[in-house]
Amino acid sequence: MRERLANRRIRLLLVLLLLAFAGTLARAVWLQGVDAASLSAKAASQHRQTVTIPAGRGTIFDRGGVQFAIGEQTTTVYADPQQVTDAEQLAVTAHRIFGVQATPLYFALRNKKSQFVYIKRFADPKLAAAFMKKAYAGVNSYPEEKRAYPQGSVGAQVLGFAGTDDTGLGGLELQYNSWLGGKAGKQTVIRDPFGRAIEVLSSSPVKEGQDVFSTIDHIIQANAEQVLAQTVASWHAKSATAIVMDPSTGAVLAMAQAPGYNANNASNVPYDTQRNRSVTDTYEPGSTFKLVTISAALSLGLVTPQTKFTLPYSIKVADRTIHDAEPRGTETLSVAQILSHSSNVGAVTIAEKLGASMLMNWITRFGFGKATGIDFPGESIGQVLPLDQWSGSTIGNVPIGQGIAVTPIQLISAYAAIANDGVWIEPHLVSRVGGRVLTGFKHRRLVSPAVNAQLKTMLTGVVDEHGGTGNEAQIPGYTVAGKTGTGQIPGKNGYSASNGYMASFVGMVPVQHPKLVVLVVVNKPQGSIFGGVVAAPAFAQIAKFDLQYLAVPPTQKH
Amino acid sequence: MSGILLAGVVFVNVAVLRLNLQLDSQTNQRAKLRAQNQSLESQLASALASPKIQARAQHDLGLQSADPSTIRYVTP
Repeated sequence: MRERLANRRIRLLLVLLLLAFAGTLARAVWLQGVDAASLSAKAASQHRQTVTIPAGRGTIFDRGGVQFAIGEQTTTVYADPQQVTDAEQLAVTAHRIFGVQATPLYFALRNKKSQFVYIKRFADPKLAAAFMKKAYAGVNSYPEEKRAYPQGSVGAQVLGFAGTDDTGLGGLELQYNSWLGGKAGKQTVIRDPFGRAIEVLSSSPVKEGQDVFSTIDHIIQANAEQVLAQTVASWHAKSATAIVMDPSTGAVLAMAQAPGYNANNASNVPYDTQRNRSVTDTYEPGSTFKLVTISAALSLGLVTPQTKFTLPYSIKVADRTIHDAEPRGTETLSVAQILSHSSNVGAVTIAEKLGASMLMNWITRFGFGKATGIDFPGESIGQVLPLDQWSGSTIGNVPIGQGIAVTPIQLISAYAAIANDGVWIEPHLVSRVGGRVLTGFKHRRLVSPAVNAQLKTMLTGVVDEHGGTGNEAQIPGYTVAGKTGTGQIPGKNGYSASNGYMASFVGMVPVQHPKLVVLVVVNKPQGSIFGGVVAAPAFAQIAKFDLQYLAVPPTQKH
Repeated sequence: MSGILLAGVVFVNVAVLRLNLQLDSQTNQRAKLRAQNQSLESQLASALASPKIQARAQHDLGLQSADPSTIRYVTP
């Protein structure tokens, strides 16, 4: 009896054990089979992490190695509102540490439909670390690079800017974005419960952005900007532009503009102020364009600098009357004097000898009506009326720089060619990218060395001769050659004094072996409108400083 | 024999784990130092910006730019 009872108990125990084993087995099959995929994914998501390793954006240096644009490490702090437990406290702390507005942040954090809210983008890493120490639920952070411009306003329009995602959106930042930007890397790691990486599953390397070395010199640039700001203030002008170029290489040493702005604050500056007018905007050059007319006539042997013309104060060309700037009687002027006195009647008379077709050839030869190829986005080609659209009076205004629009970079490149013994060189703003020195800039001869020498002598007369329009451009100790320009600004109803003028001066110094070519263009000056009065002194100020800075010895005693 | 092999595998795995932890720590340290370096470089560049220095020197200390006529060049 007792033995049977014992056997029953053993059997019951066995059944229970079998049931337990069957249950465990079924659970194991369930976990390993049916639920395996989802559980495996859940486990992986808790321990496996793929992180993007951002590529540092390259630095933009000036020609002397001073940083113009640099990447600054910041920390971006964000929250997942679905996981946030105390939105009020979080918003208050964010206000206290980062200075963000608490109320809008609070409402954003309360929005449980959203899964991402920036608490503070581009935060100071120290402040971000202090905030993260609070260990609020649903809050996280990641490192992010922010573009900084240590030189402030110096060269702002040339540098352009990079957007919040560190992509170049304007200026050199845009032009060289593919080199500056680099390529982000990726890494997949397994983390332990403390968040430490215990195994690297896969990784692709980061390709850091390359540094870009500009031809701009921050000292020359800053000085040019300062002179322009003073000029704009003195003449109550709307704006002003200046370019300083090394004529032997085509390297732009400064490309300045007034009014300027702080490059760190680009997003709050109107586009009109951000535009680099030296490259993107056109203007009617006025008498500085006479260089093309005179160069063509000299090169074709139609005139020499000594050829004399008897010129009345005004002449009629088709339906237009062209006259000189100042009333005078009929005078006999040589070609050199036509240039130094900037006689419109004289220039048109020479152009009529040339003929429209030949003049057009030389306009094209000097590079007007096409891009210079400068490494800057959005270059304008200017406005040159096609020959078949010329009217009877066009030969009366184009030779004196009316009815034609050029960019400052086109004009200074033409004068730089004269400074460079008649050879035009493609202007450029960058000399080196990473370890690669940029070479192979286009070049072409515009005029023969003999004609070039004649042009330089005549342009020297503009500045040196008594009564020359460019006397204000003189620099003690140096021989300057240049040309003044006073271009009318066309309006809807043609030319009118009320539209204002563009006063300009372009010159080279020292004329024997020019180290610098400088162009100054002042938009709508008040009080005086003449390039020789408004722009020439600014030229002298800029060039005088630059000659001293570059240690160019004087060429004459003073 | 198999016990020795098992102990060896465990030893190697632990060593790999320790190295990975060190690597992670070094990577984090490198990222921090890189951020600090960038920040310092930016501050330095900003502080060295010559127009700012010149403006302060002119404003606070009365610096006058040299007149070019006072400069003499010694040429061979």
